[in-house]
Amino acid sequence: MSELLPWIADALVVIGLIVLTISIGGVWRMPDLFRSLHAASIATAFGVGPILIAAGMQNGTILLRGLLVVGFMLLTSPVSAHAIARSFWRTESNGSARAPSTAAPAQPESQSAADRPERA
Amino acid sequence: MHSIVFDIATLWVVILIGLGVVLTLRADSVMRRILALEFVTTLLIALFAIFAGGRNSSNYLDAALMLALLAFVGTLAAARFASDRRIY
Repeated sequence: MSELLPWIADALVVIGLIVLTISIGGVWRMPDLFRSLHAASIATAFGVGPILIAAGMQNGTILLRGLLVVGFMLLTSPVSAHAIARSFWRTESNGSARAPSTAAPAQPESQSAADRPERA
Repeated sequence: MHSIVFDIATLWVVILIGLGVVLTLRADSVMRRILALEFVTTLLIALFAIFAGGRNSSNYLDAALMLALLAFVGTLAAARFASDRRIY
């Protein structure tokens, strides 16, 4: 078992590198920022996580500290992805991603509030 | 991990960081630039992890943890400032 651990670490590093490569390819090619965010969020959990676990495969201190880094990144990456998506929604998207047919750039809150009594 | 895997992984992640820098410089909007910069930071954390595993030292992971923390705060502040013109 002890001589098998470096090979498991190698496999985990290769898996992490492949996921990171696919993820940066997705960020490069996706036409919309929301889809780019989807591709970039994969890299945090499934790209960096296996590499950090592989780093601590033969050392308990590195493993504990790597799990700390993984836990912190799992906690913070959805928050930062949500912040980027929210600011893109407020500035550049302007609600056109959900309803591309409505050409009038009115505020969606007031428009829906005006429509709601008529539908009900 | 074996040393040949350490060398190849280091080279691979450095190439990916170069691609991320190109992605940051060629971005067409501020949000995409923030996203690419956060991605470069994620790749830097992966590079620190590979160094911690290859050189068998846990000191690299302290730098990785600090980098993750500062990247989170920086992304949050930049994204909020780009849309609202204020940070909080």
